[in-house]
Amino acid sequence: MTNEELWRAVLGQIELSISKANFITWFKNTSILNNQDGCVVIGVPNGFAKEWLENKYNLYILRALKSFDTTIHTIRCVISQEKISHPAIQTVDGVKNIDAIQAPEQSGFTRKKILEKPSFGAQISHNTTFHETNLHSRYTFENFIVAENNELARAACYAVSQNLGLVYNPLFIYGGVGLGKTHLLQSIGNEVMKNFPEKRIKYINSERFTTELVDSIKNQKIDKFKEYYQQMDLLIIDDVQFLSGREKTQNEFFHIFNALYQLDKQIVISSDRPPKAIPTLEDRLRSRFEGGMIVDISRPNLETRIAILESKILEKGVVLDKASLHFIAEHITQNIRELEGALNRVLAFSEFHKVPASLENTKKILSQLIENNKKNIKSDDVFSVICSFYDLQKEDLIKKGRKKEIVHPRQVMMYLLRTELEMPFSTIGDLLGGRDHTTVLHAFEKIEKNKNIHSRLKEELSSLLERLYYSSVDTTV
Amino acid sequence: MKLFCTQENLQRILSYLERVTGRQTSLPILSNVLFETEKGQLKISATNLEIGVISCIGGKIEKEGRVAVPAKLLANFIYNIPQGEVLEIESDEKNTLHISTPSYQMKMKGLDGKDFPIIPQYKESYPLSFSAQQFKNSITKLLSCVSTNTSRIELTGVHILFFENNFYVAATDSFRLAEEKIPFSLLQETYKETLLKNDSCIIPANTLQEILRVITPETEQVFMVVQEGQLFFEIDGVQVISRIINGKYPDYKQIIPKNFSFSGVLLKNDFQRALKIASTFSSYNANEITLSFFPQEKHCVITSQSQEIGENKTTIPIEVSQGATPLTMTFNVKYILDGVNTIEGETIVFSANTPQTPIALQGWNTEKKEKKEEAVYIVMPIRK
Repeated sequence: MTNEELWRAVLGQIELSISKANFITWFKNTSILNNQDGCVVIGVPNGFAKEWLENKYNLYILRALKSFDTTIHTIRCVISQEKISHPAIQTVDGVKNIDAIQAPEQSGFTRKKILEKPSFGAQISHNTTFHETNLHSRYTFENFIVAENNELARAACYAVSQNLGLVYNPLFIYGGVGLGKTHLLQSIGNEVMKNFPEKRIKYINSERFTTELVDSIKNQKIDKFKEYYQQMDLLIIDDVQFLSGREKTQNEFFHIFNALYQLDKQIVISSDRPPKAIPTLEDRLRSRFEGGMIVDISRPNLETRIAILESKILEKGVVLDKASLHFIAEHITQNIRELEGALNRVLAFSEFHKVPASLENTKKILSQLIENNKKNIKSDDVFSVICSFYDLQKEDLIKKGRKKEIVHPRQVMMYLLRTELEMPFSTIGDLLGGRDHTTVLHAFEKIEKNKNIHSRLKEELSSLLERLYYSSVDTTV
Repeated sequence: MKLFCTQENLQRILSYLERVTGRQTSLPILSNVLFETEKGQLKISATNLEIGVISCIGGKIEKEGRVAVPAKLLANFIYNIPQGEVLEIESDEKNTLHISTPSYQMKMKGLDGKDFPIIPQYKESYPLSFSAQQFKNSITKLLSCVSTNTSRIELTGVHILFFENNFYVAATDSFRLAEEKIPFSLLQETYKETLLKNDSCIIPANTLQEILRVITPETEQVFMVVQEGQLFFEIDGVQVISRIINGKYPDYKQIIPKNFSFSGVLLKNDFQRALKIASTFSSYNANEITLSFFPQEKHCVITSQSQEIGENKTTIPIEVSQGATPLTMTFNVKYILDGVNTIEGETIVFSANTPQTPIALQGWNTEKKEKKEEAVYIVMPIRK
């Protein structure tokens, strides 16, 4: 047993015998520094803790220590200070540190602020409550279903929640809509809150962050805003892609990010696409996002979808036959939220009509939903999505020409028309400027083969599909 | 516990302790003060686990004991009792404290004294001491420079550096910096080696504020010792213990320029007046003011302006002792004014190199025609 393990075990025992407030006050930041010849040296953060542990809790500690190692007979406390290192103010040999005093910067921002009428009425909303973490207790690691599409992401998140700021900082999670990003992010927050209630946690989506920032600028409370965020031990920013194109917000976020990062505070970020693919994200932010750990959550496979449905059913305490379950899982493939919606629909129907949900009923109820998914898409939609994604004109795709920049989008287009619209090869050929059906067949096979080899292509396809089915997403692009 | 003491004594002690009591609700006992009898005296202590204050008052002890009582409640009662009354203080087994005089009676519910945190105490003789009034004077000036931004924890305290027979105290919020020199006397020769090894530490600004409160105009000496992770002070029998801020203070000495290419002597009153006028016009303009020095004409022009309200210009005489070329610089008026306010005497030396480098404000010894080196105030100009 290492000293660290021993101390953790001892703390576990002591925690049971004294009150929570006492435990946190006196045992925070303590550790075993030395364990030799039956004498244990405990490092404590200050003189108060030293006196208290030596005079009041010595018996508790000794008893707990003895239950693990009977040779221990004395304990001693010393004040030990962990040296906090601030990269910003460390002097590299030979390089002079001139951080001590700096000129007040004259920024365009302060000038702009002056022109606005000062208003003192409104308060920044976050001042109202201290414990406003924005976390929803519904999301925990326990009820997150792990499968191969998300096991890496889940493992990274779990590791982060156990060692704040020490592993994977910043942690960047990306994946499509409704695949569980928010669930994972909130789980980190909830787990940390459970284990380290004294940590300051903030979960916020980037939209709200921007609003708060704008408010604080309006009320001339920008310093308070910054200070507030710089005090966090764990900052979770959801849907960071919405920061794209907002220069001032990105700028402030950059400074907050740096301040936290230097103090080894944990930052967790999510987005619907990798940092590289977020347009108009400033390079310095992008490179910082990429500096930590990037994990993705992809679509769940059939088995996972079934498992999710089963756990939802268990949670709701209802029964649904296997066949219906499979039917739902097979047909709703894009998104877990939709999966839950479909399930709810089936359950509501059977409850409403007082009939047990059977495969027949399920098919009938969901037929509309499934039809909606497929039928809504026309070849024109595919055209517009491809054109906007690759920044091309429709004519480019149709006219003759074998430039690399056009050939690839054209092949992807053929592939999508085939897989999503189930068009015959010859029709696809006609649609794209009267090409031969073998050309289309070749394109289809090529993409089909490559999508499993090249992860970039796979990502490309999944984001195209997303735009195809959730056109709202691309309004932000 | 049963004892008698005077209202003045108790009021004086409570005024030191009241601010120290903790406000955190996780450990309610921290908002209490501890009464205990020790060696024929009443010992009263309070702590918020960062600072602890212990002090003793004389009295007639009839029965030993200890009890912790809410500080606010007690203070409100004691402060309002007329001076000169003798208080009879008594506690029972249920930790209720009774205080009574012939005309005033009070009973308040306390907590068991055993649960009160044990405040570390320094029981040996102190190795160093210094003048209380000089310390109070210097620290009062420094406190305005201490940063309040907790994201750089090391700047929220005052840095103290021992060097030969003096110690240098300094504070900065990264925009300006003030340093003062205070002589001290070493009471134990052996402590010299400890100081050589561990020559600096950062004292939290809160601790210093408490110490200033304890120092009265009659106080002569402050005793001090630095130990691993904590500091002990003793002032007129009151012990103050504090944590030390954990961090690396910026190496500020290299910010203070060794030489200046320009320096001029100003009358403090003139300069202060000009700055105050300028600050009224600069408040809409990020507190920006412009200082221009004209060595040939022997005057200094202070201007500030804002598009919304107007502008002003003040010309004051300056005695240039160094430099011949005109110099124009921009500052945040608040920082300059803070510095000018702290300088004692009627004249001030303004020293600078270029419009982009730090300037120094110091007192001027008119008889010897030289700068007073005990204190220096550094401000960074606004870079245009």
